[in-house]
Amino acid sequence: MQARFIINNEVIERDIDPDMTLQKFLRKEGYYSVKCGCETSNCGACTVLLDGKPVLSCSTLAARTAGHQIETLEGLQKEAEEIGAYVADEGADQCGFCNPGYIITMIALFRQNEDPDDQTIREWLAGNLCRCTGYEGQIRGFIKYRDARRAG
Amino acid sequence: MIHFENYVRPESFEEAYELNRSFRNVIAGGMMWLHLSDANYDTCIDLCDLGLDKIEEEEDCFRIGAMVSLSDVENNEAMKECFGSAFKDALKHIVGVQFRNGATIGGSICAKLGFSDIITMLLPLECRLIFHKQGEISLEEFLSQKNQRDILKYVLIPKKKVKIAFESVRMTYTDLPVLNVCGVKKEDGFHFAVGARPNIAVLAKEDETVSFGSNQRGSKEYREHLYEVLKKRIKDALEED
Ligand SMILES: Cc1cc2nc3c(=O)[nH]c(=O)nc-3n(C[C@H](O)[C@H](O)[C@H](O)COP(=O)(O)OP(=O)(O)OC[C@H]3O[C@@H](n4cnc5c(N)ncnc54)[C@H](O)[C@@H]3O)c2cc1C
Ligand code: FES
Ligand code: FES
Repeated sequence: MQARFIINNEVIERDIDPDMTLQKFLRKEGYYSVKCGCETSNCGACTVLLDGKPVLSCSTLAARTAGHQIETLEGLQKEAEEIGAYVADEGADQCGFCNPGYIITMIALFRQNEDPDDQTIREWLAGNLCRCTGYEGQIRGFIKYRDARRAG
Repeated sequence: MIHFENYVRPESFEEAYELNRSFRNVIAGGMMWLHLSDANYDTCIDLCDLGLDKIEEEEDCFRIGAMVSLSDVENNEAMKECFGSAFKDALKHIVGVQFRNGATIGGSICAKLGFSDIITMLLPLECRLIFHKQGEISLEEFLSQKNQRDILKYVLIPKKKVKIAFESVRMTYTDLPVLNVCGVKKEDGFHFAVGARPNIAVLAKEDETVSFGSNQRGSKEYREHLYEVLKKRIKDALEED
């Protein structure tokens, strides 16, 4: 089927399989920040923004997203670098596979809520799994990012 | 993973209903559960153009379109005012924010999952469902029916001022529940819905017997024990102020 997609503000028209997931479609188009983790809606590694909201691209039909705003980390480099620096400072990344899912989820949170409390940050990260770390490094990083924004 | 040859967005409920009469076709809610199936279908029926994505506050109830996401249910201000934190308490453990932005209330009910936190939450609220062909029926009646291949359009939640509390036990924060219980306090006492028994949720008054079974998450005996614990926590919460 033919469909028109808006990815990181770029409009493209493609012929896609009706049952293709958004994850498969984006990776085929070269957006490799979108990871294939569990592919069973469990890990958050495939998170992208759909009309500004974080969703799991492995469980979203590409066909349904036609005409909607899709954002991947490739289109959010400035915000990603800024937040990612705090995660790196905490030594939170080991293999780094989970990192894009974490960062894009936090970008969505900070866009929606300028000053989230610690509990809100933890709740928003509950759907992102990391097989290497104990989660605390990432959470510390995001809290410090929030604190730095507070301090201006 | 699920496979299908065609993707259709019906323009009317009748069109969706007719397509769904065939066992070769399937309705897509958020696809969160469905996409895990290995089945091959002819056509995927997407209800996203039928205006089912709104929560409307009516005089005596909230009318929730079947395609409303679990996040929108959890964060709706008017519903928070009426039911306090109960919906958030029931939904916050379901995988994560990203998942709840995709999963729909319609799919969550129609999947009739035994462990469903949503069904356990909605049962004691005397929630009613509006289907395209069957019209309005209670959630309880729907749960006891065989698959009618009907289209769920709306979920009606009465705006009664009831005190309600939800509790669940899980191995980790976002794991499936070992047991979930929702309780309300009415004039004739406490009423509970008990889910993840592991079978589908049932309603019971305080002194009524509930049957439990075993699966890899917990034994029958452990669930019997947990039921008493969760009932006590809920009663304490409901009697607090
Ligand atoms: C990894 C994972 C973990 C989960 N953990 C939990 C948990 O802890 N607690 C919990 O309560 N739930 C849990 N769930 C279930 C989840 O909450 C959703 O209920 C489920 O994913 C279905 O929602 P959906 O909108 O994606 O429906 P879909 O998967 O799209 O559809 C589910 C079924 O309903 C049918 N359907 C959908 N909409 C309609 C309609 N309008 N009319 C008629 N039929 C319809 C579909 O054809 C399908 O048979 C989990 C699911 C997964 C995949
Ligand atoms: S790859 Fe999508 S949730 Fe794991
Ligand atoms: S750092 Fe390896 S999965 Fe998170």
